Parts: sequence; C-alpha cells; structure tokens
Amino acid sequence: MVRESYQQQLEGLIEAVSRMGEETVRGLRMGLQALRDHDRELAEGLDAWDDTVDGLALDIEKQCTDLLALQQPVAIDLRLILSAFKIVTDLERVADLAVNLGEYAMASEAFVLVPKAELLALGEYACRMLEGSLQAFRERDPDRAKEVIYQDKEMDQRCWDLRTELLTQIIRSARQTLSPEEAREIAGNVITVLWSIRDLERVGDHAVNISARTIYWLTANPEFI
Amino acid sequence: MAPTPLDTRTETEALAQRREELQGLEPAVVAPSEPPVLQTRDLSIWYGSQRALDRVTLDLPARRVTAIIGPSGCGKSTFLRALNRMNDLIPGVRTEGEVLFHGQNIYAKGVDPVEVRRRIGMVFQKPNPFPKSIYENVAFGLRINGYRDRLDERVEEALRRAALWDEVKDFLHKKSGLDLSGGQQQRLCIARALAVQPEVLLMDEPASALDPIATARIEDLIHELKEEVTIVIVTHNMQQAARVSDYTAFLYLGRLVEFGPTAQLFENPIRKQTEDYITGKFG
Repeated sequence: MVRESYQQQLEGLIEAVSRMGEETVRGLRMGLQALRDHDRELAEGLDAWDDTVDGLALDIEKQCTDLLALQQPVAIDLRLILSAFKIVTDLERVADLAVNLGEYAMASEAFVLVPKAELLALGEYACRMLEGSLQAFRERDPDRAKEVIYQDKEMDQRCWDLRTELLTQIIRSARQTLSPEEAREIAGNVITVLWSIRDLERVGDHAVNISARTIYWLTANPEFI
Repeated sequence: MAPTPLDTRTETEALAQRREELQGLEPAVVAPSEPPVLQTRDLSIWYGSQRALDRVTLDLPARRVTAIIGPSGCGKSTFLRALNRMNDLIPGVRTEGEVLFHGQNIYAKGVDPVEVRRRIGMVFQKPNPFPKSIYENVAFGLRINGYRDRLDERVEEALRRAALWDEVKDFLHKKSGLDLSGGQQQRLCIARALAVQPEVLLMDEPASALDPIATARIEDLIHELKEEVTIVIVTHNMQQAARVSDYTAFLYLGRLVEFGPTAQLFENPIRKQTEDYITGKFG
C-alpha cells in the first residue's frame, strides 16, 4: 500500500470518532440512570464528563485540520474528513443532552403523571439508534446507517405518543381538586418529562445525522443529509 | 460587493516591496523539542558577488524530517548543499558562518569533506545510477569507503531499507541500474546512499521527476527512514513538504523567514510572508 502513514492517520480518525461515540453513549446512559435513580451524585458528575467529551471533540477537529492542511485528501478520504468534522459536532451535542438529563433528574424525583419506565424505554430506544449509527460508521456499513434513519419515524411516533399521554393525564388531573403543592409538583414533573422527551428526540435526530454523514462518506450520496 | 481593484504593480515592484518587508525582520523560529544533529550558524553563501544565502541560523532535529521550502532562487538547494560541503565542488562559491555536525564545524580546517559526505549523504533530483549492475551500484560506495567484508549482506540491507529488495533480488547481478524504472532508480540511489550508514540524508527534490505512485513510494520510504536517519528535504512542492515533514523552514530571498513544526507552519504561520507564499499569493 502506498501512503501508508496517511492511511494510518485516516484509520486513526475513524477510531477516534468511534471512541468518542462510545464515550457519548456511555454518558447518555449515565444521564438516563441519574433520571431513573434520582442520583444526584451521578448527575453532578456529568458536567466534568462533558468537559472530557469536549476535549475529545477538539482533538478530533485538530486531526481533521491536520489531514486537510497537510495531506491533500480527495474523494472518499475527503468525504470521511468532512463527515468526521460534522459527526463530532453531533456527538458533542448529544453529550450536552446527556448533561441535561442529569439536570432534570435533580429537578424532579417523582413521576406523577406518566410512568418513569416509559420515558426510560424512550431513552433506551434513542441509545440504540445512536449505537446503530456509530456501528454503521465504524463498520463502514451504509445499509446499517439507513436502518437507523428509518428508525427515526418510530422514535418520533413514540415521542408523540408519550407527549399525548402526558397531556391527557394533565387534562384529567385538571378536573381533580389539587392543593397548590400538588399542582406545583405536577407542573415541575410535567416540565421534566416534556424536556426529557424533547432531548431524547434530538438524540434520535443526531443519530440520523451521523448515519446520513456515514452514507455520504461511503457512497457520496448526499440524499439523507 | 465592490470588485477588488486589479494589482497594477509590476513583478519587479512587488519583489522590491517584499524585499523591503524582509529587511530587519527576524526569522520566526519555533525551536524543535528534539536535540539537533545539524546546526547552521549565520550561514551565508555567495556565488561570485551574488549572495545566495543570508545569515541562516537553524537547528535540524535528529531523526526527524525537515523540509526546506521557498520559491525558485530562494537559496534552498544552496542551503542543502552547504550541509555536506557539496558547494565546495562549485567554482566561485564562498561560504561564511558555520555548519555544526554534532557540534563540530564541518568547514573547520582539517575536516575531510569526503568523510563529511559519508556521514551526511545526499540524493539528487534526477536519479543517477551508475551504468553497472544493481548490486554494483550499491556495493560501489561501500568499496570506496573501505568496506571489504560482508558486502552481500550490506547490499541486501541497504536495498531492504530503501524498500527495493523484493523488486530486484532476483536479478541483482543481471540487470543494470539503468534498466529500472525512474522510481526504482531513485530508490536504488537512496540504497546507495544508505549503504555507508549515514546519519543524515539530504534530499534535493527527490521525487520531482517521478509519477504520483513512485512519488508516494518515496514519501513512504522517507517516513520509514526517519526512524533511524535524519532527513532534510528540499522541495518546490509545498504539498509534499506538508505530507512528509515534521518541521518546515521557509526561505525567501536567501533568508530564513520562518521555521517550525510543519502542522503549525501550514495551519497558522507566524509571518505574513510565509502565509502569502503557502497560500499562493506569490512564488
């Protein structure tokens, strides 16, 4: 093989993005665990963890910059570097969303109107989408990437259903006579659940972006971007 | 948006302005972290009355690739040849300043230039194999330098290090060096230079006469060789400098303008002149 060192650098970039992806999934699961267990310590630790992820993102951006400035990449190599640049931003945003989940965990312990298990199941679905998109990237598998893109419809439907369920419960509870404390607790919990749904929906969107960039890298097809 | 006015300066006027900008400008140097094997101190070189190199002070780090870039006539080949006293062979050349090899000035009285060139080898722009067998091309330098034993072993080792062994091992004595392709000839010349175990290899546009694949093989070879040899490469091809080197020096009008890690020089140069050159605004 010619340009062996350059090829090694490209492989190194794929590995670095994959590692950052694994770390981001790990953080997302920590955020969900904090939500599940109302674990303040775990939630508070996510801030420092997020700084680490930001550092990984900067390292990868530097790798991309070096490759662009020094190696004159073209064709599939160029698309890989451009895709890695964008994927890193998606992963960095997912890490921010994981931190958000930790913050919601601290804000509200009880799940009054919808079972916590339903929200956690949605979180698990988002995690699997993210893992699928990273698997497609790591294994250079455009078909796997497409599967993740098609999963987003299911994700959106689940989010819609959960929001509908929540609003239904709000309307039903509005007919009950509640004390101000009970009403405040419900309001706080509703906000937590709504924001958690929104953030998990976004995790799904980022998984779609990663998959679309992977397809573009491997096939030059920009259709899903 | 209003169109940018056309630059109405003549090339001569632009050159004069750039020359003026260089006056009194200290070189921007980011010192290498590795220890130097070669150092130049206020190195100036004249061809007759014309100064080709103007007080260049530079440390070349051991077991790294340093690229020398700059437009035609900036003094980069003159600088390279000064590093192993090849300029001595050109009539009318005058050298001032010092070139220190492991701290010893190679221009000092009593220093044997042949010994200097054995320890600081050179590969030229155009492959120049001898009209002899592949084996003899490599063994020649060994014999001249007094190596008598284990010649077969040394020839094989040099050809292996130059990534040529597998391609030529079956006709070492049957084929002439001139029968090889351009890229193979250049690797044969590299093998010839490596056979005498130099510590430094100077390369003057080693791939400019080669096609892209042969160029890529030479670049791979440079990458492998730096594990054991210090390499200084002159190239007019900035992309090649960026690809193969760890450090880059930018020379202009005989002066060192900037020296530093290649990634920094190509991504965030310190001097405006460097930026203008690498972005193609002149040269």
